[in-house]
Amino acid sequence: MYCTVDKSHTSGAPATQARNAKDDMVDDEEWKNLGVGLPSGVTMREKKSGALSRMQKLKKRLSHSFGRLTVSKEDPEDHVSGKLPYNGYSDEFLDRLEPNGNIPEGKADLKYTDWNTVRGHNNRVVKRQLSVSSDSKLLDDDIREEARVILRPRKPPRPKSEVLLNNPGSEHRRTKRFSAFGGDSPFGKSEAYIKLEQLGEGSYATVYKGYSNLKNQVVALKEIRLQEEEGAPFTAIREASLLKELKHANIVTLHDIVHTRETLTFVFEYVVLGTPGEEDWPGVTTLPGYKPHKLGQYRPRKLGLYWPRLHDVVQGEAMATALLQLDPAHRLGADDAMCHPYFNGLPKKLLELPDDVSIFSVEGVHLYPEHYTAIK
Amino acid sequence: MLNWYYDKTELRNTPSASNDITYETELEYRREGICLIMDGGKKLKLGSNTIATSAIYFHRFYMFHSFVNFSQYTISCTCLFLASKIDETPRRLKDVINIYHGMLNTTQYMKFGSDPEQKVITLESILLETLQFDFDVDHPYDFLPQFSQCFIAPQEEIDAVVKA
Repeated sequence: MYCTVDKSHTSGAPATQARNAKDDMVDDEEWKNLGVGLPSGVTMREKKSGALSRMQKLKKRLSHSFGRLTVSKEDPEDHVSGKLPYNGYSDEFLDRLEPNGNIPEGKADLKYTDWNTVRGHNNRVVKRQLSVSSDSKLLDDDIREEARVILRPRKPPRPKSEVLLNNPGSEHRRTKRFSAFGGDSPFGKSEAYIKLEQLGEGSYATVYKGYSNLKNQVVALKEIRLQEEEGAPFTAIREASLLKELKHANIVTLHDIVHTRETLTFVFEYVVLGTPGEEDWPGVTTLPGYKPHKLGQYRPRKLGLYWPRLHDVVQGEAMATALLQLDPAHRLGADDAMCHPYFNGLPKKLLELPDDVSIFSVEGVHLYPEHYTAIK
Repeated sequence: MLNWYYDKTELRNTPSASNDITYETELEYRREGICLIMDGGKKLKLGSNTIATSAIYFHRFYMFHSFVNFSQYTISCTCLFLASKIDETPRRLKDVINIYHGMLNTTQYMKFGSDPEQKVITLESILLETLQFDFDVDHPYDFLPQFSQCFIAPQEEIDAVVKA
């Protein structure tokens, strides 16, 4: 039996143990193909101006004018126009106001304040979006069947970028699209995914429900718009580079990256535990955001079917089900969980341990590495 | 994850070599790009970590692409820009290009085309694809001070070598 103590610890520990596990979707053959080159004559992306939202512009303007004000406070003699109201003027206008052409000291810091606000905001968004769908994994067969029967015929309009690329009139259609997983691999191509309805929207990305033709399963597509003047947003790049390495049961899996000229799409696993209904969540139908037609009706299935390894642990499925109840009244609390039969196999001494004593002081308690392959 | 380690034969059979660029010329091009990265990075007041990261991106890029198709000037600029973003010390694209404009002569700067910013953004997306979003680089420099403890030599000499 898998000792329960190590389980609770590995789930709390960082997911580094699982990082050596390869992405299950990409086999060795495809990794070998990674080096396939791009065609050199890649045409330029259209220049996008006005990508900043009104709010960002306002923010930028405010921080710029504040920086300018502090400088003018330090040496007002240098500025002929020190008394002009700076607020509300554009950057270009302010630059022209500078009589000697010097860049004020505060200016160098301005872009950092801008960047930091943007980044901090995005980070929060990322976390929130990930937590929406991070719990368990895998879809069962009947959802897959449903998807095949219902979702296939009504193909929604392709994303704009793809429509442009597939335009029969365009002469620049390349037979081999460059992909994050190499030229010949079916992964990394937007053709492989059908975009279904929108699930949510953040400040820098939109999440869609999608369907993967490669894996025949429902996925979550997080589409990041690449319209910034500064190239790809570095939050997105970092997110991709980190998530590519993180493979753990508790972290939503990044299956694929689709990179087109206008968008960067991350393909995540789509996590389903059944559509919440009135019987398992009273009052859910009256909530303003409750749109079952968007989610689709999925019957909740026993956790053990999603995650067969739960059957290997005595009382494992019962415990996990009790902890994952939607209704807080039916959900198992931490104190009650300690009395759950799931823990019966543990030495009694463990439960009576004082708070400041390590559980590893109890005899027979060890920390096992939990490998991703074992979880799958 | 990708394997970024190459043996000696692989290093000789780069895409540039298959485009009839001799090994010496390729080394020359690589040196040129890295020098630009180092000079430009210093001028942009980027940390040495960022400069080293962008140098690694540069070398990795040319393990997949040939110097015939991509100029070392534009790619070194793109690498520096991307590394500055990834190390969370972003520099404005305009500033990076201006620095490169100052360092390059007119014929070299011609490689940036009529719209340098757009060129760099396009190259950036190619770079992202080429490196396959694998941007975590572990530098060996953290271990240098540790190794320096192992040598028996006057302390000033060791310090001079480590700093160089």
